Amino acid sequence: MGSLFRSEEMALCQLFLQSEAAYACVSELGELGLVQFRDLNPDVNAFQRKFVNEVRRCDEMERKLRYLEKEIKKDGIPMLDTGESPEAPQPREMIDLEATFEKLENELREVNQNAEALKRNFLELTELKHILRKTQVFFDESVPTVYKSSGAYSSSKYRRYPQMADNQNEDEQAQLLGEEGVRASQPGQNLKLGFVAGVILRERLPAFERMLWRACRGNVFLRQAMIETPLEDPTNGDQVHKSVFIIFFQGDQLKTRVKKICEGFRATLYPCPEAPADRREMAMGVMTRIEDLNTVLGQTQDHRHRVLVAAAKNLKNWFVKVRKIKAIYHTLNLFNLDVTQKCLIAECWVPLLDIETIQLALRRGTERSGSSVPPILNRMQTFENPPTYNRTNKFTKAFQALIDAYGVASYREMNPAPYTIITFPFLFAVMFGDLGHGAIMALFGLWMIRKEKGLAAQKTDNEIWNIFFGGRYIIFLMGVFSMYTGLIYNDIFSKSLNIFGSHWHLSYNKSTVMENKFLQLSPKGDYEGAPYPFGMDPIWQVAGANKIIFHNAYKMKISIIFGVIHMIFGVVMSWHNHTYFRNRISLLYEFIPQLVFLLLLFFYMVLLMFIKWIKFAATNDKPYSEACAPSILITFIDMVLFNTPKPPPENCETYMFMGQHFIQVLFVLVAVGCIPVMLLAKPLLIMQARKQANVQPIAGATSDAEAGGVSNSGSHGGGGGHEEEEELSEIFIHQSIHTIEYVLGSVSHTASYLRLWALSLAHAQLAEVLWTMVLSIGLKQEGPVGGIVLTCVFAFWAILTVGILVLMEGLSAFLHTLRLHWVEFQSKFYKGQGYAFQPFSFDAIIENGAAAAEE
Amino acid sequence: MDKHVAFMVITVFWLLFAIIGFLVSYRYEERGLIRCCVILTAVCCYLAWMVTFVMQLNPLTGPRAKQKIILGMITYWPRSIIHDEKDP
Repeated sequence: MGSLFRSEEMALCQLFLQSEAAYACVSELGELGLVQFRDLNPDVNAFQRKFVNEVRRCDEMERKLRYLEKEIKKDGIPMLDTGESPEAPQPREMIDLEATFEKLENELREVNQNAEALKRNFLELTELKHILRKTQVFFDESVPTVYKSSGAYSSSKYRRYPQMADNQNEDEQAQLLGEEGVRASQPGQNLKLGFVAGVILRERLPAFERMLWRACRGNVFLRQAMIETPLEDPTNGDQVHKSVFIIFFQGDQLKTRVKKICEGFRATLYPCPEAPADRREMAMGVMTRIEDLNTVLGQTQDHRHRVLVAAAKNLKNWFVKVRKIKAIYHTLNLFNLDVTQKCLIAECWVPLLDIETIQLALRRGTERSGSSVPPILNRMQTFENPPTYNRTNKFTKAFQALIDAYGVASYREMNPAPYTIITFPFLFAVMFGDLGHGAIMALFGLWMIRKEKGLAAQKTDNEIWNIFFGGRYIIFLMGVFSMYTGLIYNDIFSKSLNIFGSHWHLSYNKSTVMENKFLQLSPKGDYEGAPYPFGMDPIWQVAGANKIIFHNAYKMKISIIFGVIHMIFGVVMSWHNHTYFRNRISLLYEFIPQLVFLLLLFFYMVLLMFIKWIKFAATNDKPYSEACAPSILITFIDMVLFNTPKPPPENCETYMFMGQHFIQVLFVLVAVGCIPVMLLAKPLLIMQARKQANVQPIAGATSDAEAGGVSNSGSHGGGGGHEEEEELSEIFIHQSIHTIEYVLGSVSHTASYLRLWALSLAHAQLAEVLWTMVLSIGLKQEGPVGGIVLTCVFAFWAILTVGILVLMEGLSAFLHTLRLHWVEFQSKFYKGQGYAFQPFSFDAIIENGAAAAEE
Repeated sequence: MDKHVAFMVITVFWLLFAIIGFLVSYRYEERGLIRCCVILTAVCCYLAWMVTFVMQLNPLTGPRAKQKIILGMITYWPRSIIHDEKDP
């Protein structure tokens, strides 16, 4: 038998590793991906394990790498991804990596801080430039209304720019008075007008204006102008819109109040000389400094870019290395530390066939570390259930995933996946059968298979696409088998092919043809006597009046036939399981009655179908003519209920064949007799065996019956031990549940397979609706307008065909096929109580790490 | 005779398919898996064909068609004819 038919034989091994060699050995095992370590320190919490410091250091390195990655992506630098997987570094190389990452991170943070400071400075100078430009307009506008003393000006002192502060005495501030002010003021009184200038966020300006008006009771004068170009916020790089403002006020009290309001609204105040000449001089200075800052900023950005480009070349490799180191130390934390012998002790599950490979890997690790003591790998005896490991390749992986989604097989149980490779696409095709739709699906699957290297390398995070791509072999096989059943049903987009010539032909009188709206062909005269050689005769598609009735009869029967055979196959699989596990009780008293029950009732029904097809014909005389053909369903119901069949039509026989009544009664009685055998035989035999074991207590000896019973509930361990016995009442209860489930399940599962007919009918009718109501309308148009209409109609038809019939109907048929396999087929033999083998594998860890990083 | 020939041809085809697939599988490492797939394919496809063939072997009723379908069959299918004699 191939390795996929049953899970791999697994062994529990104990591993002794020298402390100095442990890291390298675990690294080699991680590359292999064939060892599942057990946690020997379940009671120790994460922070008390031996290598927790190393794990923390790896976490820190990973954080730094993620920071670098974020900065690299922000600058849009392409990262070099060679797809290689570098080996896990030596422990001493970890120190070098730490130093490298530390240096890179510090350098990058310093560059970022410098850039931010420079940008902030740049922003302030830019804002000042805008103020100096806009306030010129303010002062020019105020000339007709403001009287000022010649030669005098005022300025504000600010700590931010002490070198720019003017040394002019405040006493010489300008006197600004209007004509009315001059007239209204008392002689000799000296009035002063001050102002502040600054920049504020544009959205805060209305509230700012209202606050000034209310707080100062209308005694201030505000002018503002928008800065046209957005400015960059140095903290987060956002573009913000700001406005320049200038506020004129009178008196020191208002000045204090105005400044507080500006602070509250986070406005930035800047010094602004009043005299035009001074403003021009300041503007030129600001422009010079802006140009200098631009130069320095450019150089800073260039330096940052060079640092990131250099890091981008190695970042992927660094991630892989750090993740491998971290995985190794996590694994070493599962081990026991033997202080006296200076070695680490590990326990692990390994596939039996790969023990030599693992030994070689351990030897390589020892050589790499330079240790002289070889590692020791001992097999251990255990009564635990090993994990289930099914060796798959890229083709079988998807089918195995379908089975594992229902339940992972118990250890060494028969694996349904090899049979599912064909039965799954085939049962799908029985529902989906259409040559055209199958071709679309097959071509899509084939495209994914042909391009699988390129498509796999892209590694998108689109979940739907990943599901399709993962199932590309399933999709391809579903398409191919649908093409085959499309030929059998003779259905291509709801039309028929007439390859061999229909085997029905008619010859009617002219008046008969003209006078009748409907005519039915006679099997006696119009049928050739031999059926269409491959598939359905095209006449049934062309003559539409009773097509559905005919197809219903056909598809119901084909569904039941495949369903019963599928279930019998499942029961036979349970025979393989019982034989392998040496479970003689289950073999004799479960498998045989189950098979007999299914054969005598449901397989007999299938035989009745074939008998009816072969024996009864319209060309035959009574009692085997079409009028005498009985209904299979009614016959079956009468058989099970021991009913007396109702009288047949005239000259017809009650039964299909001689002795049918006796055979049916016998079959039903035997089938019913199997039920108490299934129900009681196994528990009674186990009970009897236990009584005998109690009477003669022999240490270590177990009878055949007892061994059969124990292995059913326990693991398939070696002899010498005693499993804890299941309570007798529970055994009876379990057996009752299983028996009832099987007997009732046989009936309901047979009915469940009728979904093959239901979905097939729905699919065919939907395709016919698309033909009748969409495409044929376009084909009926004439002339050049007809061409245009047909193009539009075809596009519409094509979209609906792919969207509804291939995608939605395909998904529906897929799910129903899945249920037929999970419930109807696997319930006959499959326990599915195992747990998956999850080896320590760098490939899986790095793949998960990369996926988590992208989220 | 025609039906027997068709039956024999298809049966021999799927038998040969299974046998040749069985023999070809010896060249590959996963011969168990290939053999399983080939035989299951042959059984499933043969069974689908065989059921379709047998259920059409002795039809109990004939197809029922509209008048224009009848006229179409008479026009396009060579063995469908119209005549002036009396219908049975």
